[in-house]
Amino acid sequence: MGERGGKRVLEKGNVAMAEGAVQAGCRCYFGYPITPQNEVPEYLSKRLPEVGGVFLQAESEIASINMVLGAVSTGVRAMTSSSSPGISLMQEGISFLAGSQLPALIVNVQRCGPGLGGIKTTQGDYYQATRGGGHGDYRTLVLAPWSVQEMFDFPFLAFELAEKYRNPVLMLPDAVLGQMKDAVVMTPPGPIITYEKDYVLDGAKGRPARNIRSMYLEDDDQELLNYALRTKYEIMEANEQRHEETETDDAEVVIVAYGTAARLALSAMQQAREEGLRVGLFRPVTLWPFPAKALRALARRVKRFLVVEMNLGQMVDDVRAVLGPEVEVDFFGRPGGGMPTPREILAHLHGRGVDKGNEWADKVDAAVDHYVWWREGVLQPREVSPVGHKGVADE
Amino acid sequence: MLFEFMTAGFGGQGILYLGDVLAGAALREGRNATFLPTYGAAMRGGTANCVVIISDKAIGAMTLDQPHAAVLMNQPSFEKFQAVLRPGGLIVANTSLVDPSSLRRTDLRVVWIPATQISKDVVGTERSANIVALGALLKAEPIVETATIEAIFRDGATGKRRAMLDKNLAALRAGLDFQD
Repeated sequence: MGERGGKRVLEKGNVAMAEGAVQAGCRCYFGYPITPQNEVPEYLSKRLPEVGGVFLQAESEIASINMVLGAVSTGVRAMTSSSSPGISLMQEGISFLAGSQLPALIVNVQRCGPGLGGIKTTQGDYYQATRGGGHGDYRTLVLAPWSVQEMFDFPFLAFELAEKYRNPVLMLPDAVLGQMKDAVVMTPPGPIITYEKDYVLDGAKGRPARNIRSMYLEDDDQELLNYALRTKYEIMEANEQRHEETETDDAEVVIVAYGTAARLALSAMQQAREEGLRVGLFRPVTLWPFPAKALRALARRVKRFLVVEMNLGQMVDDVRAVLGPEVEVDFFGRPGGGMPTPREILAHLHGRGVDKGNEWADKVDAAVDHYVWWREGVLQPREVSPVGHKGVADE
Repeated sequence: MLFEFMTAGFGGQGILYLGDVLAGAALREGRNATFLPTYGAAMRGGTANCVVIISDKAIGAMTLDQPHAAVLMNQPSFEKFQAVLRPGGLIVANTSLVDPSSLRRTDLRVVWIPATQISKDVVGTERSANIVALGALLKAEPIVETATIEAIFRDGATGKRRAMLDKNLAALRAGLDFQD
């Protein structure tokens, strides 16, 4: 984000994000505790009252996101944060925000799953974040920070874009970015941009009544709303693709990675360059809209890409869809709390897999073997009669 | 120059504080630094560790590859983490809780220092053992200036932490003065 005034300090990603949100004008936070993002509510419970804001620990994630919906209906900047399982609980509310066309910031400090999972880091929620996540035909704009500085800066951009498009905006860091400390300048990256809000519910005295809703039962209204939303999403796709390139000018191979995985990839790139390998880094900053235009432009001269993720392959689908079958797209990822090491990424750049030794291979085999039921012949189907339903099993 | 550092021990030994101070000092000296703690399940009496990366360039990975130096404050940490150090790497081992005969590597520099005992002797409690060890680390490997660390202690000595200032300065000095 360039040079700007202010002191460089060492701060935690979660805290920097929370402070960034406050400086960006957020005045309401509703949330429910979950590791690894608990520094966010901890910090805001103290900070928001200082600026006349509201901090409220709700009884659940479902309550939190609906409180956000209520708050933003009045025009105030409001947010919630959680981690993967909690974000899953919020999907209904996010869908309602999208259907009601309301702005909000939702931060998902990802932890590994599926299920309750663990508290280690991951990037397992890419699909959920970029495909809407809840029910219905909608999208959320998704920002992927890779540094504590961007953790601080992105709330400014998120609220601006949320209000511009009247659409929920997600920030998608992971546990490492939430927990790590890094140098950060905590002064606003620029002026705060807002937009006219002619939809807010602030009392109808002297004007016609307004109605915010996401339910349309009459005639073709729901279908028509979806066409209108599609047009909005197309405008977002045209205008809001963001990415960053590092040393791609002379690159023969380009790593595509976002967030923490991009940090690991940067180290691999630096090591590869020392070995004389011409490697570059393409980092999507918006995951939706995916920076397809720039990636396609890069593929005019680069013929090999390596996608690195902290999952078993999600963004790689978007990369392959954008680049088509003519371009070689390799993938390397580690799921469930595993982080690709720069050394492992480097091995993949050299075109060879990672040999992690027999011990690790045996562990993986043992884990797979543990679930024996999918082995041929182990699981036997059996027929049952549909008992218990009157008039079906009985004569 | 890229410097990888880790420290590990029991929760409550000030492991995360040690890493935080070191990273903060590097930042004050105009370099880049990251600090990555364990979180969540870490608690007093459990295990805690953290990773600090210091570099003159932009830092990519905030994780360990092969650390240049480690401060290992208890026996489980010593047994576990001596394996990850790079050849020629430095360990500061707290012999108050670490058995030197459990060293398996022959290619490391090791500073054996009874940090917990020195802390008791110098400041009256075990609580500054982390700072004693930090002093020993800086003596063997001056990653940052001692004065920068002292400045961080001074700036942090507000409110109820004020009482810690003299103890921290004394503990740091004891570590720096320790003859292995």
